[in-house]
Amino acid sequence: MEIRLTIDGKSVKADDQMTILQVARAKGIDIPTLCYLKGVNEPASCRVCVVEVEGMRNLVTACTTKVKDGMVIRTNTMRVVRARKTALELLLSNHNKNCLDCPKNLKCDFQRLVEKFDCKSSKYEGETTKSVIDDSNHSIVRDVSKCILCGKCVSVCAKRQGCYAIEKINRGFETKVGTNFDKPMQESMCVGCGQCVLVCPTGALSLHSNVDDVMKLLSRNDDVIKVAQVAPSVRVSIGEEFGGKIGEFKEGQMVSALKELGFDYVFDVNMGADFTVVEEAQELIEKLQSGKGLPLFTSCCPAWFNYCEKAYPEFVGNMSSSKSPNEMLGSLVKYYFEQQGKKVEIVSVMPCTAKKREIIAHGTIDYSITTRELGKLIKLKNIDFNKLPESEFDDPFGEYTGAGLIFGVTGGVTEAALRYAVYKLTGKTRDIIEEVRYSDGVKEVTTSIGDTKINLAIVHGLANAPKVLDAIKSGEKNYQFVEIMACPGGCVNGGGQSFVDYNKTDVEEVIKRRSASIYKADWDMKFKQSGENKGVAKIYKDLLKGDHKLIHELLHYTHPNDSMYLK
Amino acid sequence: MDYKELEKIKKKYIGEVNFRKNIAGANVEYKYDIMVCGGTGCRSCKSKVVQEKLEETIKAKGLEKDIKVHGVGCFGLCVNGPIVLIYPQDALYEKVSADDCEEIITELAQGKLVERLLHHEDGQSVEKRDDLKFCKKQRYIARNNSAFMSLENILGDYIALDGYSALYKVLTTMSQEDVIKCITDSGLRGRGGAGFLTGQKWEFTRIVDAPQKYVICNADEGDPGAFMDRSIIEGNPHAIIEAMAICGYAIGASRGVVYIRAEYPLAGERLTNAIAEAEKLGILGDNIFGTKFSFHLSIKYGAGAFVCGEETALMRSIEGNRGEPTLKPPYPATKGLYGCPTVINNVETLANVAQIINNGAEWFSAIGTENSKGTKVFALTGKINNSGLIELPMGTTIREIIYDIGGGIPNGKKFKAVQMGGPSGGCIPAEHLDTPIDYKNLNDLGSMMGSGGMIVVDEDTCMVDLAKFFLQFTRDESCGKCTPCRIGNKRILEILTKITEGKATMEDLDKLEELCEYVKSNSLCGLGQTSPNPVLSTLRYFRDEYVEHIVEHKCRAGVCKKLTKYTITDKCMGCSACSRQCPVGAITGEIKQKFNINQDKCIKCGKCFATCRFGAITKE
Amino acid sequence: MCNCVRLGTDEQVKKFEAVLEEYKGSPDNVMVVLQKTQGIFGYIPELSVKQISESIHVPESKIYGIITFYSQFTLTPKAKYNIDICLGTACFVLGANDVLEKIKTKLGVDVGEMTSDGKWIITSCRCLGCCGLAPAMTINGEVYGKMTVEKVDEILDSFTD
Repeated sequence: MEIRLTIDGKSVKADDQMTILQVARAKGIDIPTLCYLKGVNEPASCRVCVVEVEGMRNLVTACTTKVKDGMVIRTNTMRVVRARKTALELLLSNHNKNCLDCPKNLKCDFQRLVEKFDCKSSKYEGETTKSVIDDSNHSIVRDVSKCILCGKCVSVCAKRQGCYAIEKINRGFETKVGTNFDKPMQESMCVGCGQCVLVCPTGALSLHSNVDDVMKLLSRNDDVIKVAQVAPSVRVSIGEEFGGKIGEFKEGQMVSALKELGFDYVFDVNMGADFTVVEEAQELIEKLQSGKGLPLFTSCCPAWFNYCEKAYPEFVGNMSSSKSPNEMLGSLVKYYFEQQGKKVEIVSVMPCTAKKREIIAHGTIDYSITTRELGKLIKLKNIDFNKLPESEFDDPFGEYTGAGLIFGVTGGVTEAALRYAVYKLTGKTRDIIEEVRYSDGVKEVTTSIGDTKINLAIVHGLANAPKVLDAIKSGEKNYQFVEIMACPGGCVNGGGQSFVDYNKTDVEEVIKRRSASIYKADWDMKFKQSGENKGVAKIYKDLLKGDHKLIHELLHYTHPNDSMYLK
Repeated sequence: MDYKELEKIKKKYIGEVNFRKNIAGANVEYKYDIMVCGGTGCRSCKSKVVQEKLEETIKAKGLEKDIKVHGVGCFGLCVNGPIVLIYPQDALYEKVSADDCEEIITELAQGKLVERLLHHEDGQSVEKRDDLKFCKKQRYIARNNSAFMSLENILGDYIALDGYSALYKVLTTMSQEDVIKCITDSGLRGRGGAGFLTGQKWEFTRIVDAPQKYVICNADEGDPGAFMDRSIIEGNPHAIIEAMAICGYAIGASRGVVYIRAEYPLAGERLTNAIAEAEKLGILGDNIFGTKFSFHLSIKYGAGAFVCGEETALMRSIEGNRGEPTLKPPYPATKGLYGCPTVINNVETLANVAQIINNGAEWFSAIGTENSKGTKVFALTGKINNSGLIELPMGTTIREIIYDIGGGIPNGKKFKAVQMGGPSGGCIPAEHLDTPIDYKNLNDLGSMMGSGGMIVVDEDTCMVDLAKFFLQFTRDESCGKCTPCRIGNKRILEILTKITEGKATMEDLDKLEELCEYVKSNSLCGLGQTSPNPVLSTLRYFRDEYVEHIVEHKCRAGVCKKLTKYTITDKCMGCSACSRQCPVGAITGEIKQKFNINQDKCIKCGKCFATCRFGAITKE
Repeated sequence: MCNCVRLGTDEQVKKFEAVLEEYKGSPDNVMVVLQKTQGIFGYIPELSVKQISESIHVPESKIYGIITFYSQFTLTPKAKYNIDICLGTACFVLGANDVLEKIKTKLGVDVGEMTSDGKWIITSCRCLGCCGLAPAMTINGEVYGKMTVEKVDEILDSFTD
């Protein structure tokens, strides 16, 4: 219902289902928040979004208070400002103020507010939470002394990812975010997806950084060939590191930047994805024919793989033995150069934090860095990203089809596999398969490839995985192929992607923009089906020489013992 | 179960309860009834042993036909337990031990009382319970009849005393609106904290259209210094069950949950048994009294978290979560337990309901003051002679409570203040002793009704230290969810500690006040919003004590150890007794000469002060 | 689960399994299950949390969050005798702290600590609801009222076994 209210002296119209915060933001009025994450975490606990409402004795939290007809709201009185300032100063009194050393320095939401409200760190002094750094996990680093207990990480881990790796423990001033029995993260249910890092307003949650390692690698003047290989979705986020709009397609500049950084070769994981399509589709066709080992689960998402091992070990045997695009390409690159008697070191650039663990488990790739770490490296080298000319990926691992590119979006693996399988089995072309795209979390599709009817399930956001897995377990559902991506929206919204201010753009919008960018590039591609990748065909023929044993060795996990899980 | 059956039970036991009430014509076959208090207080003074011993003695003397022995709910005068009541004389024995039993029975067999066991006032023994000063001004509604009900036949006696007749009346003759109108007109307000109008609360829940609603009884009595809810459940559990069923009917709820503190095992056990009895009799369950109304009751135990007394936290706890409060609105009336509309009432509030239904709204609203109707149970404790539970009409003055009922301050000490409302409340100093107690007056004085804890403090109590005590409590019990309560209260406590250690400045005092006001108006739930009250109210009435600590480094009550200084004066005989007692070897000297205390070493334990036989050590 | 790690005696394990069976698949009864588990073992063994989690379908981290929120739950084995001293207002005003100090000195342990022989553990609580008997404490649930420093020796010494 439309109502009228007054906010900071202006009369405005609004819907009565909106909160004060939503109305204010829609009208361009800034109200700071720390604990609010729309729909996921709305505890009204940080108390920095308080505003004055006429007729109310106390200040109210804008994030949770619904507007009413005739309401008179003031967001900037001195009473409001002082209350916000005190909340910030109290938080600051129990905060590790070693900001200069913090990975979030100058990118920290909390620091920004402290600066804005002119807070004095000495105002309230007293006991503080001791710093305990947990870096046991290969992806994520935690430091409780920087935590302001907004609870966003806990909510995201539980509600979006269904992992429940972390929870608020203890009570009162002793409350902190911790794991079961406060054990190291590595022993928890954490799968390393990094979604918590994306929402943390401080440096309490950060990543294992490999920036120094890569700098060292690139400064070495030896005969080792330095290779960078880049995942599909990095190119639609890297621009954001340099002030670009969310989702801009910056492939050419990205390649130039990597070359400027000093990599000898820049290869495309999209091509690795084309290989994965060929191998995985073959695997599916074989399984459909034999009727064994179904459903087939995609295994390219390391966080999902990890989740499966921890929460549903009974399904590990159903994981596709085809390596992830990253690992496939890494194996091929290594083999390619080794055949020439050359040494190679590989850095993969990923939208993903869990990949840091995947590469350690398999030992082929040397470092895996995130989109954010790449941004940092480019800045360190003083490269003006936005002015860079566009370059192309290097041969022989630079050619890709639209199928490889769409791996970066939920449903992409399925669509790519279907494009290939349809062509392979019927000789026909089906390029855009809309029915597998976008969903609330779980999408079920029944489709036919020639005469064969198959049931598919596409899942993104790990919290949705149990819905499908439990249905399979109970026999309620019968799928032949299941795609699972840990992060909501798939890799475009990976834990390693550029930070986004969720106060300005909802995560759904971020996913939409980055996905749209990928789909547009796919639309513009001449070849959309992995079988059409001439480079792939050439590698099979010239490098792998059709040797099945070699192909299996390089492109498949020696399944199922080849565990992702590092004990 | 129908009305006839209820009548039958009533008839069966009415003789016994009337006998105890000394109502003429009560026809029982025995001559005397002895009732031994079975509340937690008296139980801890071995009242169970007394009861067994009495039974044994009666048996040995072959008096089973003449004298009956029962357990009974808490009588209130806990400080003098174990309490034993003798009927029909209506006499009260106190501090009874197993050794007294022989004499009690021997005398009673001849219709005589044991004078030395009676309560004494001004050197005189008081024969009748009602003549006790402690009892004279009391009026029992919430604690009604509990002195007449045998714990061994609690349901029978409850029914004999008109129990469940209100539920019958409600189900068979009243509409939902009638019930709520009656409760609203009575003016009954919540006895657990904020004092919201009970009828209104019910009405807000009734008007919400929902397939499932809940009634919750908040028995998570957590205020230190309050134990009336425990005593009501222990002594009269059916009153709570009946009231919850009435509320269920009025709002359209078929389910009820009692959330009870884990620290109250006896109350939990008695309530569990009472629910089972009521179910067996068909008073709880489906189609009660043959009507369409069904009501099911279950018990959930808390696990030691004060914040769970806050209604939203309580509901989260019942649902199996950390007891963190959630923001209101939405209020429980629209979105409560499991998202369903829910009424949450405290034990004492519910204990009034059946009687209001039976006696009418006017009867209840005639008691009390303009804005506060009925009676209130107070737990009178601390530096007071007659500590225990008392129920008084609203409007009784604090002076009457402390001096008439409580018998004044022990050891001739001077009254300093009474702390009311627990950790959310405040102190009331001597100048306001003549204030009639009601919700408004207490709020105006910076205190609150809360659950009714009254803790009396005398000149030996340091008000800063008392405020610090409450903030320690809040610090420990804050759930940690919102910033003001989690960190604010911690910082308030740290400033208070600085003051009691003589390390604070006047600037700290300003900071303290500012922070208290901030926490009060910015915390998420009631716990945080009221937690600075003990500081604010002591600052209001005893600011000079704060200033004294800060400026003069002096604690006039001699409580703050860091500010206390022990010195040996010239009166010292050089006996070395103090030196031998000192645990840290801070006192040195030569025999028969004046000893000295090394102030750097002294830990202010006070042992020397207590040891010196010559009054040669001063404490300041 | 490895057989060499045992939760407790056969009888305790049997009782525990019966509890799990009773509340299977009902997450809102997690507190009841934890209370019963503590009732059986005297504390909540780490291993039991995994089983509770699987049985009633509440994530382990969430159970740990609940255990550490409520002060009633303990993760360490119980001493033979638990002295729970009330630090409620009435007790505080009437000198509970002195009694506590005395007990601490006598047993040589702080609040929350167990004596080395496993005989005593001191805990404190917020109001036992026996304010009429202040200062009060309980030993294994039995209330001792009107405590004084002098009474401490007599009472504690009476526990001779």
